Amino acid sequence: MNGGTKARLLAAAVLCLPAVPGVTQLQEIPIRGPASRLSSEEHYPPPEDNQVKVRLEGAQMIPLPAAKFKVKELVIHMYTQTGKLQAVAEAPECIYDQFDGIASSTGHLTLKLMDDKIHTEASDGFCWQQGDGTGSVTNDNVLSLTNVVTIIKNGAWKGSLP
Amino acid sequence: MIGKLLSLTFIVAAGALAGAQTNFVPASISQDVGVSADGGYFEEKTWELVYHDHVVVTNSRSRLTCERLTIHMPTEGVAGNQVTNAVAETNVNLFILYHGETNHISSDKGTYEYSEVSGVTNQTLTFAGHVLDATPKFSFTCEPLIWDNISSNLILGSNYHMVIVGGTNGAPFSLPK
Repeated sequence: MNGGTKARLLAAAVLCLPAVPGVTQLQEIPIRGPASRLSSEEHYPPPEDNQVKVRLEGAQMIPLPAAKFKVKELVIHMYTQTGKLQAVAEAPECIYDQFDGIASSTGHLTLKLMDDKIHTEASDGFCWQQGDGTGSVTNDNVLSLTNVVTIIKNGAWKGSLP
Repeated sequence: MIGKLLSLTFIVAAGALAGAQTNFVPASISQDVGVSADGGYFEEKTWELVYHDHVVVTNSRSRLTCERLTIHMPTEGVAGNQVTNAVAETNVNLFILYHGETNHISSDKGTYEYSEVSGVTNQTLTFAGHVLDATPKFSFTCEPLIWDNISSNLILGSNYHMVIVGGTNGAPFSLPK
């Protein structure tokens, strides 16, 4: 049995294990009453610190172990320094890790740029990684997408045709 | 003859530019451009939308494939908030249907740029690195190959070389500079 087969069998064995709450598998914790809404904001660094840079919103947050939440109807708004809405990302559901600042899913996401003149759909997953807030290029907010399709609508490009 | 071929190349390049900028699916209804890829990311800091792995860009009469495509989102207030720069990298192949013939431009890199400097507008599509424009009637190489969309001129870089299919007994012959 080669290493790859062993690894696959081990993975299959792990998947077959019964769920152990709080140990190896995410499991929803029943909550009573209305679920919380996700609302998180990141601001630009001074002197534009009054201006919202990114706003994360979710219609419903269901707590999971390890400081994670299942978020329903995730919406990420990204703004320019003058407050203009530049990008909107929407997903029906994701897992949000509040410590690592990661919202991810194997499901669908829609990304609308430039007033939806650039419309993108990621069908097989996404990962929103929040930066460290320093605004550095190497550690800033990044939205990774899997299996991407985009429609760039007429008028999104500057310039005329020959 | 050379002038005729250059005209043809000019027309092909014009088609290429039209394919790269205009848009797609289906032509009779829309001029939108379609892009697909295995993966991609949007970086909020740089406002770049990047596609990677098996990138395909299509419109009604052309198809561009590459391994990486970067679309630079416009900065607020610049150029009417429209895209002014896009770069296709690695195994760039542009296929264009023109008058029933498939033209194939390949290169290492393809760059679309629009700029307005001191009242002067520049709009170019540049192919660089192992540039080859191949049609059923001829093939053409140079370094780089630039289409100026403002002046409607094709700018041929250095080391250009043309091979025309249809020489003696149908064999190709070349016209190096």
